[in-house]
Amino acid sequence: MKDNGRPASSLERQVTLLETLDRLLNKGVVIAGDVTLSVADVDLIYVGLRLLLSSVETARTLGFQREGE
Amino acid sequence: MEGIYLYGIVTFPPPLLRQIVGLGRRPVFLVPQRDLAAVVSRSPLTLWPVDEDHLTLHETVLEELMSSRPVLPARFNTLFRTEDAVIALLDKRAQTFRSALERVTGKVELGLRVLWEPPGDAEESADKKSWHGGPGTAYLYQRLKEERHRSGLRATGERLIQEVQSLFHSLAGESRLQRFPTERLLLTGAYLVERDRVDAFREGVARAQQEFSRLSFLLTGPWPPYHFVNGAHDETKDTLGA
Repeated sequence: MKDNGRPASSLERQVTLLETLDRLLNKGVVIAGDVTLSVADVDLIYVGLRLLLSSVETARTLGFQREGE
Repeated sequence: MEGIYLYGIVTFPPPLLRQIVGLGRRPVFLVPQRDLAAVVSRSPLTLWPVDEDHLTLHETVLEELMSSRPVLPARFNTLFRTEDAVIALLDKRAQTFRSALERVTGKVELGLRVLWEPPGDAEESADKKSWHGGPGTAYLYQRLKEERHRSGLRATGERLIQEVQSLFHSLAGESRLQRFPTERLLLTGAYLVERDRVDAFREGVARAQQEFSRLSFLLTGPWPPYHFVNGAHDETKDTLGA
């Protein structure tokens, strides 16, 4: 998201980060497995994801809760 | 051993106009093949950690590019062993990439989240005395009540979604909607919007916020068109249950 530097408030920054996460991990061009090392090593990525979501409450409020969590 | 990290796909030419720094501070460069090019940098063949700095860097590279040309963003941590593998990909999926690039030319993605306070179960207390059976009956009764409550919520929510959508319909070409992704979230939408209509869309959201004072609207972007690169198969998802 264009913001010319860090977003103003920490909430805004968190929103930006969560929106980025959602897109970079769930959307975008998916390349078939034959040419890649591991496009979506899902487990690994989600371990990282959990570590990242330091404020789970904010994430929930804004509707970023994932299925099965 | 080093490999290639992919940020996205663009049309070619032109070459890169200025230096962009990628993951691990490695320079970003183009791997061209006919009229397409992959936007890449050299990278170890291990997954990059999913944290704020790395995600932001991937995103920043794409934003640098999208200011001057259409771009198809790649998913985070897309790694190739060799440049030849990247070229092979560009060859193999050339037609798909071309039409996707055409589709997003001159457009950006805007993200919208609409929060609501689902109406509570008002009959709860009044209903308490109306069952006389054992625990089994009580359980079934409770289930039935929840089911009714849920379908009521759903109908109310759907009406609101229709009304909200009608406001944005004329402002965006395409949209991807997720209805009721979580309890508090009525709608998540990604909209593919002409660059010069972004301000109009923003004003539309501000109007919607005034009109629906009990909903909260959260608009983000412009984003690279993440939701519009994989064809029509990544359709709407619905978590409230049909």
